[in-house]
Amino acid sequence: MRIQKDVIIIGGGPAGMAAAVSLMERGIEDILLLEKEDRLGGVLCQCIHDGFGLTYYRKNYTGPEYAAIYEQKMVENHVPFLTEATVLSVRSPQGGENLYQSLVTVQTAEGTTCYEAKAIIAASGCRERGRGLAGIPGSRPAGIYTAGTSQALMNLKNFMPGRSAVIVGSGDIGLIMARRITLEGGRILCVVEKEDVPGGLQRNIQQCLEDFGIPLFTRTVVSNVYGKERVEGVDVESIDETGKSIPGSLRHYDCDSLILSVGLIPDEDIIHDRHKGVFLCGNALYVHDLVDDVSLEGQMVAGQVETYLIKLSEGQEPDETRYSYHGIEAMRAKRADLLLRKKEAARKKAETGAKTITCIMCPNGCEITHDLNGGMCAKGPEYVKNEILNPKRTLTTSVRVTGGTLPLVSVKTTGGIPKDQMMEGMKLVSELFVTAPVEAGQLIRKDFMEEGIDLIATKSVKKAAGNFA
Amino acid sequence: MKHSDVLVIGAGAVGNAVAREISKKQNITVTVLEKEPDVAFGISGRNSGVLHAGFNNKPGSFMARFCVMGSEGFEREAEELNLPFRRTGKLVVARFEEDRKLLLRLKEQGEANGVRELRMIEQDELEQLAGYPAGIAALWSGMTGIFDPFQYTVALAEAAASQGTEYFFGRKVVSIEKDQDFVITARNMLDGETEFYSTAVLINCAGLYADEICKMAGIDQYTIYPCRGEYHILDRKDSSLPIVPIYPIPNEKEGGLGVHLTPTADGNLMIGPSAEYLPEGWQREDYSTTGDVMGKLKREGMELLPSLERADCIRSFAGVRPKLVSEHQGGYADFVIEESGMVPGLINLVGIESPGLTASIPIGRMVAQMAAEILNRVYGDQVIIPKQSSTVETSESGLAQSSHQADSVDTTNDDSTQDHGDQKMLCRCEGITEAAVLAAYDRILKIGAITTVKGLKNRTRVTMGNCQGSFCTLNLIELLKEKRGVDPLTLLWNGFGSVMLKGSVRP
Ligand SMILES: Cc1cc2nc3c(=O)[nH]c(=O)nc-3n(C[C@H](O)[C@H](O)[C@H](O)COP(=O)(O)OP(=O)(O)OC[C@H]3O[C@@H](n4cnc5c(N)ncnc54)[C@H](O)[C@@H]3O)c2cc1C
Ligand SMILES: Cc1cc2nc3c(=O)[nH]c(=O)nc-3n(C[C@H](O)[C@H](O)[C@H](O)COP(=O)(O)OP(=O)(O)OC[C@H]3O[C@@H](n4cnc5c(N)ncnc54)[C@H](O)[C@@H]3O)c2cc1C
Ligand code: SF4
Repeated sequence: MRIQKDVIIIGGGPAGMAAAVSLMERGIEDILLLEKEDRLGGVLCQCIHDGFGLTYYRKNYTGPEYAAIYEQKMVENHVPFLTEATVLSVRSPQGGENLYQSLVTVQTAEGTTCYEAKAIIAASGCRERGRGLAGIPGSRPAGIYTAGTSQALMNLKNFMPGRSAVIVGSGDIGLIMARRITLEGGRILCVVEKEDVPGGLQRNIQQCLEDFGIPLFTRTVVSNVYGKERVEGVDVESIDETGKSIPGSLRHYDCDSLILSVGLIPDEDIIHDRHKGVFLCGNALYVHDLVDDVSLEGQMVAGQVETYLIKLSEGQEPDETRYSYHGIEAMRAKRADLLLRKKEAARKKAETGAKTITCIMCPNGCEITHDLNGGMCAKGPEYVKNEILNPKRTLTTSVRVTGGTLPLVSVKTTGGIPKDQMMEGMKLVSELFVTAPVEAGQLIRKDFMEEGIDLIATKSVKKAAGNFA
Repeated sequence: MKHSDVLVIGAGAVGNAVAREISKKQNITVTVLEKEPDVAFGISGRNSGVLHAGFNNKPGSFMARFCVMGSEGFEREAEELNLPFRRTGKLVVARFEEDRKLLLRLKEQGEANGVRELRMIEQDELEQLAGYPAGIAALWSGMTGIFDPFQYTVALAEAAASQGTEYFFGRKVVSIEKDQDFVITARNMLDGETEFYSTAVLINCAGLYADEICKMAGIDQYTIYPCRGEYHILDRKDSSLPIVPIYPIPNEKEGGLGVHLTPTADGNLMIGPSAEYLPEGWQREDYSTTGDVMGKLKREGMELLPSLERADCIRSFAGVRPKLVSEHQGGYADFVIEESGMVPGLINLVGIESPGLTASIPIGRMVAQMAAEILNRVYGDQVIIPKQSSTVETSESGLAQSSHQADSVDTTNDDSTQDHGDQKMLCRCEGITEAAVLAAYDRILKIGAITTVKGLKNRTRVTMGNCQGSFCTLNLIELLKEKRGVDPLTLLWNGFGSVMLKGSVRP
């Protein structure tokens, strides 16, 4: 038996949740959101760092906090959803005129179920490029992880992927992981990037590498991996414009792991054939730097689906298909523009030797001089003033939980603590314990490092069923 | 000291096939020692997975004979082993006019070996079979097929184990003494202890180290020249990739079949292998891939299929051929399969390179016969008779059933769900459920092997899809911990020492 729905939303990350909530608000209620993990939130659950919601909410949330906003909206709007439900495929049913254009096969603990839907919103996120795609030669030992996997290992499961690492690729996740591993007592020997400018946001270059003195080598690649069973070391080499290695540039690092942050690929493999009524959004459409854009896109797609359903019900030939969303071009242009500016700024810096500080308050990354010129808005000079006089950082990390469904709860400081006191802060954090249940926002430690700055939980952790281990 | 009638060193395809054939006979006890945590960790898990037809080998050689025997009727074996197998056929492609006579020579050689279904085909038919204009003519071999070498090697071991073969994993043979019986010293790789095993018949199936085992027994006459072959595996998404193996004209000198395109049993396409001799004294099990060869593979693959330019490589790997000829000599030497004249009771299998996988079952049969004769000689009476075939369980169904019965006292449905996990998807790329992974875990323990991610991967393909484990590794670790009590901090990735995690963030 096939269950019929107006709309099926695949993926309970920010894109899927925003779309589903927006559909309900538009009165389209015969919908179902399917999520393969045992929780909503998508990749945000493991992004315990801050920097989410800067442009849309004008707030600096951590990933779990941002996710919680939408989980709340899901509850308020009574959005029907299933977790631990993996969509295996989306196809168009064979033959016959049918309002229900898509056949969705779903796997749950009980087995396989088939749904039919008039429209599909595929918000299944993206997957990470791995070693094969990065073409890294050498041995094939344990200890080679993608940045996202290491992030999940550390932040969700309390495991260290390694104690000393070289990071390949300067994408944001790699940069975030450089800081995360350093804060937890590991050593990042360097980050290598094969392009001539780093891939990640300036904010992350500053706060994740420069703050900790981690070197970043551009136009550099990993040319060999050593170790039969576990990574024992890697060679890195500089390359010229044509990609050829520069003789004499080889350097060796002893390390026990290699972390890959070599790009993300929209994950739409489940869409088996291209047919009408399939709408993509979020990272499944293209990889977004900012979650704020993802949420907006989710709402927009809900609008398109509404139009589509109306046309369908009126017997008109609907023309909206998965390709109707033109945000991709806009995004490409924006990216190209940002890259150009990055290169230009790097060139200028090198040429004039001008001392500037890069503003990290938004992705624009304006270069601000010491006499506070060069910002595209007032936040820049303000930031630079603080950065010179009294640089502060929000500390995001996690604290051990006893008796919870998760081993750790993510935490943050409610304000900046002096930049040079972060490692001390970590020492304090590592000694803390909380007992489940923990509520998001719960005070973990009052006046942490400094009066008026508290350490609070950024997600909720339920009490585990059964005995406490 | 553990004693058995027959002791096999090495749990690759060859050692397992040998153990399976011998343990079909009644009253013979068989022990297998393997230095790695599980089967198929050597070259049996690192090859093209092609069931060769047998036209590449010299008439009259062991290679030719056993290859043809292995290929004929493989359907029956596959069924018994519950192994997916497809006789896809294969194309050896001529790109230039002068290649034709080489194809003809291959065809003649094949026919001399007794290979059926060999046929010269012209451009049109070639394009049809390959799915694109691959060359000007080709040799079509209808008997060639593809199968999964991991599953094959596992299935042989399971069949052997179900017939009473006892496996000891993580046991590295370090020395061999011969008195009345053989006394074999092995190092236990788990605790570093030394153990002793005695046996009447010793069978050396040690693959890349077969010459070293010979040396331990005082036989110096063999030297293995390790020759590495690297591969790329392509993303499965591209349905325009060929579905039959496509080979170039073999390069006699290199002693490989040339870089070819092979669809795997699971629908990925492999390019490879290259052929590079490892320097003398080099670690033989160096399965590294190198920057130079990775580039070369792509170029040579594109000669066969230009559209590879756009294909995505999801993974690279390498195998190492245990060659008995040096780079300087070139070409192939035949398999060595013989009872040592110097050390009676020792059967050596040396230089079992391609088509060793295809040949493994017939090799197993012959070696079983040799072993039985030695035992008759040693024990002096005729006690060895084939077992009733009905007692021979096929691997999959037999094991699945018995593990089910062993685990659940109460056989109601709910209970078995508890034990065996549920239908929840663990690896989305490959469509593998938690239940399937747990079943594989139980099968690993059943043959006495040690759990590794690679072992689970070899049995289920978990982590082998497009995401290469970035989605499912985490859930896999969690599942093993929850349902089978495996400590994540000691979980191995592949060999001993390959711990996946470096402790906890907050201990
Ligand atoms: C490490 C990292 C750091 C980031 N840092 C920042 C930052 O500082 N600031 C910022 O603004 N943005 C940041 N981003 C970007 C932003 O968070 C992401 O772009 C956004 O979360 C993407 O949302 P999504 O819903 O498209 O995808 P996801 O969050 O990936 O959600 C996809 C969901 O779909 C589910 N799913 C997938 N396939 C299936 C299936 N077959 N069946 C059922 N369910 C399925 C997945 O389990 C997942 O829950 C970061 C992203 C990452 C990865
Ligand atoms: C690149 C390549 C491609 C190939 N392609 C094909 C093909 O398409 N078709 C085909 O038919 N054949 C192919 N072959 C050949 C085939 O893979 C081998 O012939 C076959 O796998 C050999 O099996 P084995 O059991 O002898 O070796 P292995 O699988 O290597 O087994 C030997 C085992 O012995 C163990 N061992 C070694 N020393 C010790 C010790 N001291 N103590 C205990 N244990 C020890 C090892 O750990 C190993 O597990 C290919 C080979 C290569 C290298
Ligand atoms: S100064 Fe530039 S980088 Fe800083 S917040 Fe304003 S626009 Fe963004």
